[in-house]
Amino acid sequence: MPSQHEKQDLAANAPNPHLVLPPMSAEEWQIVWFTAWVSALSTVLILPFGLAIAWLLARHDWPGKSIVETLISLPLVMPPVATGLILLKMFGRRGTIGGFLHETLRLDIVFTWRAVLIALGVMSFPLLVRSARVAFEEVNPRLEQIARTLGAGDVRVFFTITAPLAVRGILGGMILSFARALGEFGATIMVAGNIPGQTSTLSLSIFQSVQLGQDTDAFRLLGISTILAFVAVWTSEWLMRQRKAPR
Amino acid sequence: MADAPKKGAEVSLLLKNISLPLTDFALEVNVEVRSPISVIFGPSGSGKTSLLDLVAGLRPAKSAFVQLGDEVLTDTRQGIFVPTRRRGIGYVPQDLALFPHLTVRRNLQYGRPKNGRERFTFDHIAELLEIRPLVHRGVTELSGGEKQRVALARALLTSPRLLLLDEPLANLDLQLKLKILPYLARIRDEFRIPMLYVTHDRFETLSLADEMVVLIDGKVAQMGSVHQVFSRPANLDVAGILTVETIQPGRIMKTAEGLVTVTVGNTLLAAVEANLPPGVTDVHVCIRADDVILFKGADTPSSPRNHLSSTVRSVTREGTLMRVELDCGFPLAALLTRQACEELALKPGDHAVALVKAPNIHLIPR
Repeated sequence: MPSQHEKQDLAANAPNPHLVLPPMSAEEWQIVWFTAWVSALSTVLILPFGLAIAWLLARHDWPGKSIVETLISLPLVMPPVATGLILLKMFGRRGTIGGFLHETLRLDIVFTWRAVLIALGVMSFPLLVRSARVAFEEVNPRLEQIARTLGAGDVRVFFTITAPLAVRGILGGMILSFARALGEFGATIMVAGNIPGQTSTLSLSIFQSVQLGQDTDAFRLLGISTILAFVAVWTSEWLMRQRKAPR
Repeated sequence: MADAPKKGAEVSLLLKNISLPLTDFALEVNVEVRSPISVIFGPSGSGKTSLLDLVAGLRPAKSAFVQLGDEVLTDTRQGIFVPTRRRGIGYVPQDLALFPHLTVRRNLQYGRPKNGRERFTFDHIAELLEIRPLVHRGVTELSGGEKQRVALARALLTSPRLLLLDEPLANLDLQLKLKILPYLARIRDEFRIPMLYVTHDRFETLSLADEMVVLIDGKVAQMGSVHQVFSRPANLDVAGILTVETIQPGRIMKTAEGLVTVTVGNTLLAAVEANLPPGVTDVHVCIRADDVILFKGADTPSSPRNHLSSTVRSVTREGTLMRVELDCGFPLAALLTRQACEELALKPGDHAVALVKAPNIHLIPR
């Protein structure tokens, strides 16, 4: 237990955001916007694939299903840096996918914003799939079957019955994915590096600031992270309440 | 003595070589039904719902041949499988499966053909099933009977060629059942849609159906006209699940002070039936064999209203009891303990008096 005297010392040394922090620089704003939109974009891009796989896992049995299930969950349990290394090898110019893209489209992935997008998408994919799968499983299959007897094909059943009834779980999964993407660090730094103005995200910048001893910068970015996280969680809660409200 | 067939359309539904392994047994069916309403009768877990799913194309079978009218819907040997959405088969499942996120109106519109090929108008169905006041409500705001009617209307609006009903009245109390039954009769008579009706309720069976298939553990235990099956169960299992031994067509002569007078052939019977819809004259008279009391000798006054002078036709053992078949102007079955039977020394040709209390004579509209 620190003594009364030590506590006062600690309080004096802690930065007071209102007094100490200067306003955000243009560079910092850029980092915030980049992180927010690349996280949002990755969530939107993985959505169709995530829903398709979640639906296949929830509604069908097929050979190799357990393998696919495991593969999708791997990024949750593997060290993010290891996932990043795999991505680096795949998307580098000498990698299978990266080499192909470089030769056919003159498109480089690694150490560009595209690599950030891919890293965030891969890391948040399992969260989306898990939430959506549970949501799909909770939809009574009888409703889908009866929709078919009413003349609906698979696509119509999905968009008029399954998806609307699972929408809360899907939205929850999207918010989780988005939040996961906001905080991604390990995979991003492996495959995209930390290039100011190009691939720097909030997490990477906080780490860098602390490394360079620029604690005030780190604290400012920390504040921004907290606000973004708060808004994401609050929005998800709000969406849930909207769905629950009687129509 | 066969009933006059009930009104409604006939279509042949052929179910051949059906084989579908279920958890405890395999569903194995080989039948052709062709009456306006055919009942699949059986205890819970006898494979009735699986059979409906198979007809609707919701469940693949190991082997199956399903033909509706002249169209083959499933033929596992030829690799024919018409997808559910093109079968033109309406399905009202036991839990009704109303879409909870849609209003009643949008539930009803879900399956309506958009190309104007509908055979019945929305107005006609809405009027017949009295659902017009419900269309703006949410599905969760409906009562049990209302949900039932909405589910029926939704299936009808697709103009199906066949309607599958899975215990449609099972979750309703008797009062509601009596309200919904006439709607089903109206669907049969006005829209002329043949129905395959799953139930384990004899009341519904006798009120609606002409033909019935008794399904026990996935196998067809008996099939035939309702009257035939109820009056001559093929075996003990069938008799056991039907639970009624005597069923005779009767006609109500008069109703006075709660007592209904019915004729069966030339025999007059007194019954108490509070639940009969008004205006009904043609009924099935149902008497359970263990409600029949027998004695020998001269008839003396006693509290039961029905004293039926009878001749014993046969005495057979049925489990721990004895089954006595009588002729009292119509065939009547009685179940007695063996001791009672021995004391009375009943044998074919003997004269006996059968006593039945009026409340034990159950009347079901025909």
